[in-house]
Amino acid sequence: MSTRSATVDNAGWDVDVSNEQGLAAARAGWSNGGQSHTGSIDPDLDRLTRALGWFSIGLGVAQIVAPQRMAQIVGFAEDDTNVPLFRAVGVREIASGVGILTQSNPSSWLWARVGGDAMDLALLTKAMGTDHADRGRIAAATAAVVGVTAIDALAGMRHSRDLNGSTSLDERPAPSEPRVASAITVNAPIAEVFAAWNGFRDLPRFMTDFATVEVRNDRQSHWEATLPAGMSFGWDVTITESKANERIVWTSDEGSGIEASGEVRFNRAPGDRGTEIMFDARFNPPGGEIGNKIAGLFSDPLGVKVNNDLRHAKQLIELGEIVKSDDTMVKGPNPARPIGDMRVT
Amino acid sequence: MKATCFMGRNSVKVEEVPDPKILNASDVIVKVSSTAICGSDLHLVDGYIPTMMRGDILGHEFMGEVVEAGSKVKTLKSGDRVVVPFDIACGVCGPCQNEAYSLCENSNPNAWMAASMWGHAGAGAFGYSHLTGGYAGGQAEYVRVPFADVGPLKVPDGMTDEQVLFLGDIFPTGYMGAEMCDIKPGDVIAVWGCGPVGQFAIASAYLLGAERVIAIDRFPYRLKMAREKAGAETINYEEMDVLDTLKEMTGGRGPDACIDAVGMEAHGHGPMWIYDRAMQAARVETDRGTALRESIMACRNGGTVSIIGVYGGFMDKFPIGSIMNRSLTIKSGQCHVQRYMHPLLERIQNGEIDPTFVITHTLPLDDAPHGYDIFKNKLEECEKVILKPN
Repeated sequence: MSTRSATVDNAGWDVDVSNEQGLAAARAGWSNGGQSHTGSIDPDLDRLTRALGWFSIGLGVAQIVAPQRMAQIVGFAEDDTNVPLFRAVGVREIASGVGILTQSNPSSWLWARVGGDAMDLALLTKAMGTDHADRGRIAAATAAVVGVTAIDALAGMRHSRDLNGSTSLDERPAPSEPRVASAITVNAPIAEVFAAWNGFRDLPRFMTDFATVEVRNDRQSHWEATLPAGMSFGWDVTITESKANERIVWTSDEGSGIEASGEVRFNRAPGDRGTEIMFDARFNPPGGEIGNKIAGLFSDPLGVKVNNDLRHAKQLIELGEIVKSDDTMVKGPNPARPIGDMRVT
Repeated sequence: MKATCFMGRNSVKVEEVPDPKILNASDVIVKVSSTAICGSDLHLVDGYIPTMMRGDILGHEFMGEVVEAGSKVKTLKSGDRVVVPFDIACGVCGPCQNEAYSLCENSNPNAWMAASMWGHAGAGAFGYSHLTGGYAGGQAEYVRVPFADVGPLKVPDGMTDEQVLFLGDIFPTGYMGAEMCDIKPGDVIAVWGCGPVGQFAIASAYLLGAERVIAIDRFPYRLKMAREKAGAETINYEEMDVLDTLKEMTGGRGPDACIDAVGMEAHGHGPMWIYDRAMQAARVETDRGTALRESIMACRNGGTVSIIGVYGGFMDKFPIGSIMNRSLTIKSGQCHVQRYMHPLLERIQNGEIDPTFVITHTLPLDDAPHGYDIFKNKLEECEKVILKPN
């Protein structure tokens, strides 16, 4: 457990790491939050960023001063019901705007704008379904917000990248990227347990809750994880090290959806209780500290999902099949009773 | 098929539902001949165990005939008559290999729910909320039984349903409650609750060599059964102070071991009882501690408190000081039924016990709602209801 090894390829530099400190430093290399930025910024990007900052402030002021008028423009019902909501959104917009204009590293505030955009889209979607709503105007507002979201995300990504490339390794802050981890004990010899994970070939059989896995070859696979509210993210995985009956180390490919790395460790359980599996993955979401914090909200629920999949693996190894109940035959909550013409897979 | 369904708090209906199917290769489908209502079913229907859903099929005490077997089933075939344990166990994982079947690590597909509430998850169970897997229960015409080679016990020819039905839960549960007391010659055992599990705990304490068993309840007909059928001395807690009486009956020592066969919906009297009702109604605590607190306070120094009454979550005012300062041992657990079925079957066959003594009502499945009503409200001197689906 004390020695780890990983090769991390990120933002144009390679670090070969063979100990805990080294890996921590490599992980820190992915994190860009909190670090004050002193490097020069591309003037176009700077102009775009300032424009987004002022746009935020202008929109915020309008929402606070004339909430009913703003509600009417985007197609919400023209009454008092939406006034507190619009004022709250206005305060958020002003905060983002001030942050973007005054911070030397605006990337976190740009990502806060992306978060705000997502919130607005959710509100607009909800408003679509209400009575007294002007669906045409809401559709137009939605299209506008989608456009702004794209610009915000682009600016945020360029700032994040700019920051990554310009700060040296030892100046970087401690890592805070979300960790998704879980462990289980399987009542089987270590060689049998390792075989079920070797090359990740069998992962599609039991990795169903945390992520769906598409295996490309003995080293490469694509993982797609689902978050609440229908969000999902995927990443290409390459196994960088595989040591029989000990560990399998993987990292995401450059340019894949999200930066991630992890390992699956195997230990002999004490007292002749079989084999301990430890699944340990780290994610580096876009958006620096803010992105880390948002993603951090998901690390516990994702840990539960990983544990469910470890249980599936345990069931396959110990029993040869995954245990089903009436509840598990249909996704989502449903009563514990047989389902009529269900298809049993 | 027809099945007894939970339809919301205090609402039970017999509904038409689809027939069960084989879902795993080690399943069998059992055509139910007899099923019973358990005290813990009342906790579900009263709404004190979380994760029940409208439409869930109830029932975890049942037996019947195998009508279909999955491809990997080795020991059972169509036509076999079986009693089924309430806890579902795979037989392969670490706990199962140590005969701790109710801690099976593979049989609860909703383990994450239970782990979020209890820290770790126990086994799956039939008809017992989604925390224990979301398995349809056996108060129905048919039921799917997973791990058929591990749990079900084949019924020897010539034995009636009534003689063996309780091997699936309440007899082993009461027996394990007594076994956890580690009874030595001369021991005095006190049992809180004279429901069916309490009756079997009393009888089992004698089977395991107890000198005297003292039973505590408030319903005269239940105390009478404990005296006349199970052989206990009795205390009606509405007429006598339990702690004082137990001291008087045991030379001031207190019982050597106490068995809580009441659980989370304990009744009592006095300010503490009113406090518990209020805390539970407000969902500040899930479990009323009237019986458990009293059994802890009553137990002799260095004695054992054995908890087999069902608790779901958290209790207020738990007397940890009494446990710590007086070297008490607390033992507890959902029964590892599979461990006890064969030895207890032998005791029945040898004539050491006749489990039919607790049965007071036999009803058709269609009358299940009435069965729940009389059992819950202690009407018609109800002790144990058996339902006949076919």
